Formats: sequence, structure tokens, C-alpha cells
Amino acid sequence: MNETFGLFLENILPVNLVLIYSLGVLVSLVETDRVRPSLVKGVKFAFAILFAGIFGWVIVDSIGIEFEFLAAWVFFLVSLGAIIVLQYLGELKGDYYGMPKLFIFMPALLGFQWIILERNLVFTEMMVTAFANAIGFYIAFVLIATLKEQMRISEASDIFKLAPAILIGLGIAAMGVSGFLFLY
Amino acid sequence: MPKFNNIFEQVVLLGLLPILGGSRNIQTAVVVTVVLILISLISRAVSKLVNVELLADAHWIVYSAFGVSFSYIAYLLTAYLYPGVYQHSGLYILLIGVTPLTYYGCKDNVSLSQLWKRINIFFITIIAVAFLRELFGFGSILGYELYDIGFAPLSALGGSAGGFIFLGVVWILFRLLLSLDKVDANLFALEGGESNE
Repeated sequence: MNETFGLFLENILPVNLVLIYSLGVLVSLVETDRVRPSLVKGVKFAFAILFAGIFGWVIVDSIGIEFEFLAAWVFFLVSLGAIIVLQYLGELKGDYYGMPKLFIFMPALLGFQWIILERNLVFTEMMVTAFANAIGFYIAFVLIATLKEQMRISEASDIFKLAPAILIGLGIAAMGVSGFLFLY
Repeated sequence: MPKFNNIFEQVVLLGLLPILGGSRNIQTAVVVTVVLILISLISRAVSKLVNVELLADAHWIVYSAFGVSFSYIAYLLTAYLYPGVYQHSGLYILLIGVTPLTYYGCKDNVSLSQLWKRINIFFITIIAVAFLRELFGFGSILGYELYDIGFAPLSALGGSAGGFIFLGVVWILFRLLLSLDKVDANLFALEGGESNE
């Protein structure tokens, strides 16, 4: 298998942003409702992850290794920029449990940029990783929307519905996808 | 499901990432909780100095900028003091600076006791998940091996999958106790108009 293609496949599922690093779980739990609107919504969030990953890496790479200690603040500002764009597009507005929704997506963006930095990737690898993770995030986002929709109409007791059952489902999915890691 | 709209669910959802990422073992859970407490208190102190009316909604950005700065310091300190914790969960210590639960105490109408109550719930939850992950995933408690040689732990549960599954189980157990009236619902009632709607 081509090394770059292997990296691409690996980043879609076995080292998925949502399933393996748990970064996109909160935004997926909060922002998904029914499947159909989530198909469009997921694209916006996936693009935010893609562009934040690319911009963050490019800026930190251009400031040089002697200023790499500034990376956390650069990533924070890039994440903030992505969230402002999302808010302009009508997402992440209002509060969730009394806290502004900007905090719901911030960990996913900042964490993703940090993971890319820690891997010491070259430009091509970074592009492939960012693109594959955005796709992986989108798949998990739609998967969670599907689970939520199915749970709402199920006759199971309220105790087992939504967030806790979704977490257990994601755990089983995470075990499944990490089982394919030997392929890469 | 309005009856499950309570403080426990609020804490678990707002602190979801540190709970999932910082529950690899009990030591990591304690370090993550200490960092969360420190940054929460520092952010609360900063929030008392900031003129909220002047900044409008941008005050949250100011708080989180301070929070990220302090969590970065905590990240570097963890790398120096606890290399084992840093190796597997360093990222989640950095991300405490952008976790919603960290800034709960910065709200005007939140008292220190309300914040402390949430931190306690966070601590108990993360310790419960960490205990189960370390026991089943690594076969140890606080680093002491419990399994005899030749018996392998369920290593898949030591990873993120274990975090998801055990948190889900703890969450369902809490809901079960609540629905059976084994837990005082008033103790976990949300103050004000906060909800997940």
C-alpha cells in the first residue's frame, strides 16, 4: 500500500479524532439532532477542523522552532477564528448547560492542531492527515446523529437513552476500528 | 428527558473530555482533577477582575485565553513532574484550558459552593471511571499489579474504548439510582434556568 494512502486510511478510522482521541465527542453529542440536518451541519464542522488544522500548522511552521512555545496560543486563536466563522454560518449559538457553545467545539479544534504538531509531519502528510481526520469526524458526527435519532424513537427506558448509551456504542465502535490498526 | 436534567449530567457533559482522556488510571485522574481545580479557581479570580459589561460576550474569550496559558504551564509542569501521565494524557491537561466546566465558576451568579459541588462530582466520576479502566484495562490499581503472570488484562478497555464504556456504565448506574429514588434528586437539581435544551 502507498504510504500516503495508508496514512489517509489510518486517520479516517483507526486514529479517528472522535473515537480514539475523544476530541469531537462533545460537539457531536450536543450539535447533532436528526440525521438529515446533521448531514449538512457535519460538513461545516468537518471543514472547520480541516482549515483549523491546516492554518494552525502553517502558522506554527512559519514562525520557526525557536517560537514553537507560542503554538498553544496560535492554535487557540485559530480555533477561535474557526468558531467565529461557524457562528457567522449560524452554528454554535446560544448556551449549553449555562455555558456558551464556543467551548463545546474549542477542545476538538485545539486538540487536533496539537496532535498534528506533535506528530512532526511534513506538509503533504499534514494535508493528508487533516483531510482524513475531517472525513473521519464527519463519519462519526453522522453516526452519532443516527444513534440519537434511533434512540429517540426506541421503546427502551429513558435510563438507557441518549448520551450514556451513545458513549457505550462509541466505545464498542472504538474497539472495532482499533482492531484494524494492524492493516496500516 | 427532563428528569435527567441534573447537575451530574451537566458536569459529565461539560467535563466530558477530561473525564474520557484523563481517566487512564487513578494517578492521571488525580492530576487532571488538580489541574482543573487550579485553573477553575484562577479563572474565577480573573473573572472578578474583568469588566464584563465593557467586553460584552468577549469576556469568555479573555477567560479562556488565561485558561489556555495556565493549562499550558500545567502541561509543561506535568511533563517534568509526572512523565508517565504526560506521555498518555498530556494533551488532555492542555485541553483543560478550553473545557467548558473549567469556566463554570466564572459566571456571575455561581457561588464558590456551587462550583465546589460540581468539582466534587467531577472528581468522583473520573475516579470511578479511572478505577474501572485501570483494573480491567491494565490489571492494576494505583500501579500495583493484581493479575498473576499468565493472565492478560482486557487491554482494549485501557484505551479510549474503556473510557467511553465505563463512563456510559457509571452514567446509567446513576440514572438507575435516581429513578429508584436511591439518590436524593434535590441534591442534584440544577439551579436557575440551565438546561441542555
